[in-house]
Amino acid sequence: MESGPLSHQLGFDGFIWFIGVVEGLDDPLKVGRSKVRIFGWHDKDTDSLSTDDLPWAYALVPVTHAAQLPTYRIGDWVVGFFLDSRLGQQPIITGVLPAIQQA
Amino acid sequence: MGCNGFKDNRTAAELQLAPAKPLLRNTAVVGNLHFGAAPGAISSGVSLSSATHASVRDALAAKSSLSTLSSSMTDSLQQFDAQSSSLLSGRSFNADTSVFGLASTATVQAGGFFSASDLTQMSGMKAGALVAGSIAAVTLLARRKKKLVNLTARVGVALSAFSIAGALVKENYNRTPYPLEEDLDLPNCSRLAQGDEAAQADPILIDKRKFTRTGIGVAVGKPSTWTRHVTSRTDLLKGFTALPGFSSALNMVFKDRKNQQTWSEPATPYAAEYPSNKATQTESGHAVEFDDTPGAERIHVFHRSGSCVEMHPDGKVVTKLMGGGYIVAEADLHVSVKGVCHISVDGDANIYTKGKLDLQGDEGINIHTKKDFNVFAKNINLRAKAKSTLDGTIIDLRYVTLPGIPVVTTSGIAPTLNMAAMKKDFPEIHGQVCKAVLEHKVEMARLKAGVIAKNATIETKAALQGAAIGPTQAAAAVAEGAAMIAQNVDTMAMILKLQSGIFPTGTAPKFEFPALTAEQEPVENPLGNPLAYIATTSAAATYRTLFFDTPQEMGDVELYQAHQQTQLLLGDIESVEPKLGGAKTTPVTGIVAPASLPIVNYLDRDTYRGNFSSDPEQTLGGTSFTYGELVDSLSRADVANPHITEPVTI
Repeated sequence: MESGPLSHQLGFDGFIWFIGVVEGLDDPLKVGRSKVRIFGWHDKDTDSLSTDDLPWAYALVPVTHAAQLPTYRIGDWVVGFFLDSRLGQQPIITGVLPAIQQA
Repeated sequence: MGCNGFKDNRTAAELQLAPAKPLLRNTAVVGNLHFGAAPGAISSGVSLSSATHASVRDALAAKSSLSTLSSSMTDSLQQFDAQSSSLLSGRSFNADTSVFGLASTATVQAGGFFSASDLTQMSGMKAGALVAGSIAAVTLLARRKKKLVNLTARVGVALSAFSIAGALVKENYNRTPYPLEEDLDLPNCSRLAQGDEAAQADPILIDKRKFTRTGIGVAVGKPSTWTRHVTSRTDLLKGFTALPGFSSALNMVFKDRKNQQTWSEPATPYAAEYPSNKATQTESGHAVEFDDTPGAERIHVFHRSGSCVEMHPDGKVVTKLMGGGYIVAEADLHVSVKGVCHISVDGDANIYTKGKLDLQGDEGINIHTKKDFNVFAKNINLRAKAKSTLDGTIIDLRYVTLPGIPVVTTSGIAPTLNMAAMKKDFPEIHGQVCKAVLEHKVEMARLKAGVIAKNATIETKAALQGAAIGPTQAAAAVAEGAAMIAQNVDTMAMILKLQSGIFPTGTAPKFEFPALTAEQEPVENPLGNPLAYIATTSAAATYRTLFFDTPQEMGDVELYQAHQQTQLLLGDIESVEPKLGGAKTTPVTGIVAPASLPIVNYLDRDTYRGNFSSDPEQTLGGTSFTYGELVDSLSRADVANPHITEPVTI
């Protein structure tokens, strides 16, 4: 990963994918954002990094439901990318991983 | 701040073609006034209530608006070909009619093709490079013409089918570009999904509450004290929805009970909380909701006219048909109701079956109408296992009208018969009856002849005796004659009375009617007599007490208390007895609301904007991180919504 200054152009600074788990859905702006703990980026210990301290992640909604809210639930694993590349503060969720749910 | 450079560049024509939410939804209260073949023709003889008048007014306004649009579309279509020719000949065309990606200054290149630079997206951005000739002007114009034709046809159909029955939708023909003013500063997801104030201000929720119907009457089958009251012949209180001058409690009962029993459409249980309501609202005003809000789970499908199906948290389903509805079954149709079923129709109702119609009520069947009850059939068979009762002030049996003029027969009293009707239907029996009548007349004549003969005998006797016998014998003969005359007079009187249906003293037949049971006795309705509320005499007070304490009243707490309050107002009683048990409680709280809330100055983006400048390469306090690696506060995700023009405090 490059360490030089960022250009702030999507893709110019690399395109970083992530997988994370949804922990919160109560977006005060009501635009469908969620708190996602991203594997490899955020501490899995919720005491050292609480859900509230996680960055808000936007959901990329399908063009056929442009005003729809995401329907994934807390606990779902999601896939996405960072708008701000290696800064990792602006996650965008593009999809949900189907899973066999376990206790 | 604007909308991040976005600008809706749709022309007036495009906006007119685009879907839009209705300006106003309403329901017509008139079911029988249709425009039909003669648009706008409403009989001048029709007397309209204020509510009806408002509906008619709204309908006419909507129709006028629709008519204007139709005319405009037709004109536009007529000018279309001329404009197309102008366009294809290379001249620029009217900007107001520019649609479907053509810039108003577009010109046609040789060969009838547009250049890529002539094409403009709705957003105002130029389209990318296009293969020359990939879009022909003729194709675009044909598409546009087709759209105009379709719209004109739709408007024409809507206009011809226009009716003021059912849903009235006032369309917004002055459509504005996006974003709509009412959506500024709000998330672009559905208001119904947002919950709270945003949802409460949504026209769908407002209209659903406005159109919730209450107080729908239920058939009672037989007259009650209340229906008897409102249908009373005196009609004194029929026009009142409240009894003037009396307690609100009584008036409430009065209003509710005018129809004896009512039901109401359940109000929408909308109580969605973000983000549980998965809702979609479309441009023209439709909505679909899948609401997972705990305790308020709903499914709701809503059409812009107001028609909707809503499944409530408890499983109730409310179906609303603003424009009427149809159920067409090509095979059997079964309806099963475990509870009570109410069908209330404001207009007329028809049940037609080509086969047999069976009605069965295991606990009884009551039919009640305020007007005539007519039954027409080839044969009517009424069979009662026990008692059969027919009651009425006048009972007309076609051949016999009761009460008629009774005549005495050897077996008792008989009513007079309608001989003309009998002769027409039963000439043979009519002949027999005529014969009996004739015999009766002969008998009467015989009696009369007897009287006349006796009179002649008396006169003869008197004359002879007065001439040939002594005074004593003559006097006896005169006395005998006088007695016979008196006898004749009595006979004549009896004949006359019999003829007129009057029985001589002591000969009238006696009928022993059984005493009426309490259920059969007519119950006087105190509310049907307004004097019951006005009189202040002790007799009136007793009257009220008697009628207000009937078992029926005592069994209805609401009614009983209302009457008690009325008596209290009238001074009949000093207090309402019996009082309800228990003690009235007063909520107590130790929490006092502060006069004003503390002001907290949160930091927002404007606090940072322009106030910091740093070298992106500068390191942060002895670490390997640089300013350039910090999050740019101007592009933080939580303030990046394009619709938010004001600083947002998180």
